[in-house]
Amino acid sequence: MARPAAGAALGTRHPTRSPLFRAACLLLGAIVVLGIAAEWVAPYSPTALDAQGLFQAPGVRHWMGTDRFGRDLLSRILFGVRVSVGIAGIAITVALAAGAALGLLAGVGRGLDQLCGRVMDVFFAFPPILLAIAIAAVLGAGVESAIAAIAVVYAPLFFRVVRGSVLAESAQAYVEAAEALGLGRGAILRRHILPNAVSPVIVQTAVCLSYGILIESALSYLGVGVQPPTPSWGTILNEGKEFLALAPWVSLFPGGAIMLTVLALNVVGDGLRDSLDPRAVTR
Amino acid sequence: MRTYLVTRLSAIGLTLLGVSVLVFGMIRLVPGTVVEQLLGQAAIASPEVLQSFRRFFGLDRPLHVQYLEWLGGIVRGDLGTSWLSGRSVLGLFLERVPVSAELAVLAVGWSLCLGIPLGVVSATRPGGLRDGVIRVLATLGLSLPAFWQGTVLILLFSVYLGWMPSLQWVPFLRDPAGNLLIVALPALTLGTATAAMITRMSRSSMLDVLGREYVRTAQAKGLAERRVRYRHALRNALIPVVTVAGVQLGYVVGGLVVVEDVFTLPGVGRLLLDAIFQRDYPVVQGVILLLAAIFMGLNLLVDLLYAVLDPRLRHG
Repeated sequence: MARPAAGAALGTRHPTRSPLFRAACLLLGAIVVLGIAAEWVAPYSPTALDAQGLFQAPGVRHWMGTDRFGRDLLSRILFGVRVSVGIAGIAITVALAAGAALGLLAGVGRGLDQLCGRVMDVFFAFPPILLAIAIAAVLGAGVESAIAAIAVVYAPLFFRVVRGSVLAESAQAYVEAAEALGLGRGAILRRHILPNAVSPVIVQTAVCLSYGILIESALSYLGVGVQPPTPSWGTILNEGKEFLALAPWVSLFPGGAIMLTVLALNVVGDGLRDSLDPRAVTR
Repeated sequence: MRTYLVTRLSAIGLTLLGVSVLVFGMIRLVPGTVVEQLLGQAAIASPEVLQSFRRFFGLDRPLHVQYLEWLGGIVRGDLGTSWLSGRSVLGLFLERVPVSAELAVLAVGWSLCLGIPLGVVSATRPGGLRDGVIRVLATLGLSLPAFWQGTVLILLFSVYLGWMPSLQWVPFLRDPAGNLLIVALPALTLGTATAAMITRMSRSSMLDVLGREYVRTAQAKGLAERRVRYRHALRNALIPVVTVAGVQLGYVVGGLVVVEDVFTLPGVGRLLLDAIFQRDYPVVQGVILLLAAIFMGLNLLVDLLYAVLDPRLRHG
């Protein structure tokens, strides 16, 4: 495993061709497909109660065991993909759209840049999880609040990345050349600056998705995010914490799902960063 | 240096003002009024009771008056009073600070002690077996959700090994051993992501410095490899690591909320969460504001430290 990574670090081998990167992509793909197909893949309904089968240990009938209401844990985790990954995906998309739009405008217009920069500074003044908790607490627990909280936390990050790369690209000689050729500002921005500014945004998106999943599950775990009986990975963990000694599997499996997903996203993010931005030495 | 400090401090002042507006506004955005939330169903039945409560909490006045009054209080060191206990928010906060501060310092401390050597070892032979293992571990550390890691640790130590630290908090000065026993697992959990981050940063920073010309010069003039590595390279490589450590200390402030909940420790994070669930909004407001201020203060401190460590910044 160390060998291909070494090649990647030295630039002799494309980072996205490493087996680790491919395995991570495959895993992410599998998780998303399983989540979408949860209705057909899951052995039971995620909310079906079974008074006879409370806290069954993982076994043949229930691969991951059952919880305090006898609900099948595997099914809950599979349906949980939709909630946990879905919330993170929607929230990061919103953050990306809002942050990138403002970042583009700020990178072009001076006055707006000052104003946006000041406002974003306010959001950067909070530790991310604290801001998310505050927003979720104010809006009241629920799926929408979790989405809003994550979007508000990460929009400033996208703003900063997009603005920074627009400014950096604007100073390049090819932009000057395009100006000299008489291209309008809109055309330069769209046809020349934007394509070059995209790659840091892609890397940022992968990284932020993993943070989004972590924050969603943290919010739900703390009880200010998704509420039971909706099966989010964090909610399942929250329900499991009272019965840790009795039924550890209720806590172990959803946490494992979170970790695997976040791990895969991190590996993908690192691979993308190394391949899209050869200048960065972040590893 | 002085102009830098002045501009930075004024920028921070401005941002803090923005933060206060945001925190103040957020609480006022609560669906329904705060009082209705607080009183629940009972309030809807009787508008008079509702009105009297609003007057009691000062919520019947215009928003800007409420805000300016709150801000004026903050300037005088009065962050408001808890609706439930009637105690001052600042007092409640200060009471809890030692627990959280100890946890945060221990977490960042152990992650520095482990992360820097791991990063240096990793950078010694990039692509080697040790480098590979360390990098995989670092990626794993970054992917572990703190609340789950804490849960697994509790399960392992308390449930399976029967190693139960006291559930009652004991201050370090009263019983050092007992205190450390309580704090060990939470600090381990809180510092994991930070340790991973510092390992990565130390590695890349060390690799960066080892490629510099002055290092080649030192090697060319025949200095021992060890000397080049530790006397010349490491010192410079540590500068960006300090920044990362400082920034991480800030994130640890956020992580406290989660870790204190998992391990039921009486710190500021617990105070905030309890206040949220009890809808004790003055406490929520005050604690969030104070934590944001601490976060910003830490960031400023890191920038200053950076300037002290890197003479190019000091004189440039």
